[in-house]
Amino acid sequence: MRIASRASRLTLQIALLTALLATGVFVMVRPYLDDDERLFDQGRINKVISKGPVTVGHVDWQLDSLQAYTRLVDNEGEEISLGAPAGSVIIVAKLTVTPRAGLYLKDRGFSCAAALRDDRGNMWDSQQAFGFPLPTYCSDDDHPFTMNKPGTVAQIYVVPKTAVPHLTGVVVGQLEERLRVLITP
Amino acid sequence: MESLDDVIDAMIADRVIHRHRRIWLIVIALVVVLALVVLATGGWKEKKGRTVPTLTAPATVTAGRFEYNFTKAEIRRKPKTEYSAAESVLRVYFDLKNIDSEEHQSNSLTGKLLVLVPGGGKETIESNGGTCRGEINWVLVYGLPPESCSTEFKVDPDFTADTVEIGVLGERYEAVSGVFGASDDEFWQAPEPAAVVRLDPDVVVDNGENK
Amino acid sequence: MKLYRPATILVGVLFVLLGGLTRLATPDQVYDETNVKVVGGTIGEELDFGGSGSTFKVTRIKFAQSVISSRDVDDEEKKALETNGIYLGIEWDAVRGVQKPGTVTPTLLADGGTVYEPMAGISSSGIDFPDAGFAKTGAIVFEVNPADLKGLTLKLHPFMLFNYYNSEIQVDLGIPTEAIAQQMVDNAAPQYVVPDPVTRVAS
Repeated sequence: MRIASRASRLTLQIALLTALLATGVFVMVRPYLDDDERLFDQGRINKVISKGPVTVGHVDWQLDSLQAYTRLVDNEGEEISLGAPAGSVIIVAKLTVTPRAGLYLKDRGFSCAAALRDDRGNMWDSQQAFGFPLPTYCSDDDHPFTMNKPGTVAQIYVVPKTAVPHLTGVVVGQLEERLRVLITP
Repeated sequence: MESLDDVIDAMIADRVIHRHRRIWLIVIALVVVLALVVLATGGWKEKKGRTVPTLTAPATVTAGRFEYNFTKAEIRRKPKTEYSAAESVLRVYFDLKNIDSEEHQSNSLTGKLLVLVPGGGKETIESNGGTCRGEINWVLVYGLPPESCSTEFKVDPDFTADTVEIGVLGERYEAVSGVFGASDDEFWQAPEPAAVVRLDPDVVVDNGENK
Repeated sequence: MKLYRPATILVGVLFVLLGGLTRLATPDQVYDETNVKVVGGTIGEELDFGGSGSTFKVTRIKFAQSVISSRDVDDEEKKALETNGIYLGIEWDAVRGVQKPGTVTPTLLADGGTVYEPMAGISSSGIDFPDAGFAKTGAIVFEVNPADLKGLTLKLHPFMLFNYYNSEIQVDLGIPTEAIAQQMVDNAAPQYVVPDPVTRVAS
């Protein structure tokens, strides 16, 4: 089988050559690429906003308040045990969360998490607090979410008392978008 | 001016392929038909059957990093309660010793190294690992004497058998030989069947006592 | 007449190079343990976790012929776990800095070549770091062979995954000779109660 003209044969040859060169270069350089992913994994924040709302991962976030407490109580006034050691305080962040189009809303719930951050780079993940009057996660059967309708969620953190003056806000991140936003109160 | 490549291409095309067109087509057709026939009649590989030794308990098997001394088996029936349906498990008892002479590393027995062979070409059932001293996934130390252990297989609630066959697999200590060249790091991998042990299980009713 | 088209030769050479490059440039060659700094120390020494601000210290070690979890001590149905060898309980203190230290896999290494892994069956036995600003104490238990204890070293190997703030920590547990090993085994307590981990605010 003869490829018709010299021109098309030449194009094919050049295409093959380029493809091979490109693969070779890519294979060699690949381990050194993905800077963005690595920086994201290291905790880089790429946006700071005051109060919000800000859209991350098809969810609108707004920080309503950030308050410190020495103890938390449930609806009956009983103390909620968080295993907080002596010398630590409990920080409660109240957030308004609105799911937007593009979010996969499974069983009227999704995963939402905000971490607490301070000016020294420390990050704390939120904890469960059973019996807290507000829902502490976005897939609670008792507080289902509806598309485009805002809902309130609380994130609860236990931090050393000495960290309180350093706290800057909550951080919401989305892996696919490589986006991490700091929302200040 | 044409290069040698082009000249050779033209010669091959003419002398080899073009002149003997018909023969080529017949040969290709024959190969295709042969392949279809072999496929239809069950495949190319010779069916070898079981290639590992079959032993009857009590029996000692050395496979990979472990040495097993199989003693007995039980079908434990848990009667139906208010909260759960009736269940049965097949429990096999054996003494287990860590014989990892390559790395001298402590290890637990993974479930896939002991399988229940149901027979009749059905798929084997994996065990739940090695339970010793009452703890699941016990870590066995190289250099210590054998421990009395057991493993369990999930079976149907009405499972019965006069004899059960337990397949023992062992890992090999070797390096990976991949597509892009071999590496020199050897490690325990790729479990292979080592033996089959036959046991006659007793039937025991499990009323919720722990051991 | 040219012998071969230059293009044919070039393509052939490129294929060979490609094969060679793929073989050489696989990612594990790049990340292969070059980021891991080995930090060594002894019992009582606070060891640094690769610039993350976190530290790890072994506070004491105890040999015992049986172990039981502290919450099972009063439980009549739970019995202590025995051994054909001997148990070693290692009590530790970990302080958390800013960066999150990666998960560590603890192993014990002995001069005779044995590699010991943590025992199964005691849920409070393990090593992990608390949240930022906090410190934690706990214990981890290994079942060991009394015949291979000389030069016993606790090794904490980090699980590498795009994490630069890692060291491999090696703590010499103070068993330099077979005689000392034998003495410690002979003086082993009949039972070791594994304490629950305790978190406190780091000072």
